Amino acid sequence: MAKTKSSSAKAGSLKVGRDAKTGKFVNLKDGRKIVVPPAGGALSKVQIREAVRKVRASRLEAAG
Amino acid sequence: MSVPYARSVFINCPFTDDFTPIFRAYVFAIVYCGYRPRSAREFIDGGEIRLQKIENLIEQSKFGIHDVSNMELDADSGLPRFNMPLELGVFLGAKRFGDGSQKEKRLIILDSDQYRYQQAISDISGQDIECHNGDPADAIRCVRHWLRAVSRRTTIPGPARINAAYAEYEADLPQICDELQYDLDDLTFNDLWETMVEWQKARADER
Repeated sequence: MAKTKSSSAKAGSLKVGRDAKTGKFVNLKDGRKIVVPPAGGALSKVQIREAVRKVRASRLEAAG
Repeated sequence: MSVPYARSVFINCPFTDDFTPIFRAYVFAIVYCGYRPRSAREFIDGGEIRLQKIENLIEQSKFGIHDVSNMELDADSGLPRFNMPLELGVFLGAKRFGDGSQKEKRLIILDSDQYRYQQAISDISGQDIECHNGDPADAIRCVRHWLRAVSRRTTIPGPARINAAYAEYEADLPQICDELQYDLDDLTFNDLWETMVEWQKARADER
């Protein structure tokens, strides 16, 4: 079982924490890696949109 | 958030690392053609039984992409993986025995070799099986042609255009991940398709 340093996050009915070594979220019961949204909730569509448009703008600028 | 049945495309394929390029190609092609990809990987709810989750996704999806190319024996167990044929069977069952819109289901079956399925799953020999040769470009081409045929939409771009856009997206993805603080080698299904949707919108606005 993976060593954990926090058990405050939950995903569904699983009790999860972060693996102390990798920092990834794991199921505390069996150590399997799982994915939960980052603290504060998942990124909004607006945040994704802004990031993508920033990358596209820099690429277009680089291309002249 | 509910997703319209008529726009949902269920993806039944392996989730192994070596299959990731084909999986990503499927997701990109679906988004580019104006549809919504659906996958068992879109949910984090550990409380829901896996098969139940898949059944719900199949019920909610008019279209299904079934990739049966993972016929090799598992390296660890020495046994074949039966998940893909099982999910294909559930989809065919829903189409055959479901009522109303379930009977309108459309599917494509893909393999990496043209005629291998005839030995492995001979019962589907009557179905049209497409071959992607393990190449993401071919996978995009197969999905595009299939969606064009079953939807009868005339606005779906050609495969060369979709493949060119996909190469461009893949080139932008590392920088997009940096901006969003995502891990390029550990993207979730939702990370993937949501960045694809926004990327395609941004690209369309540039033109």
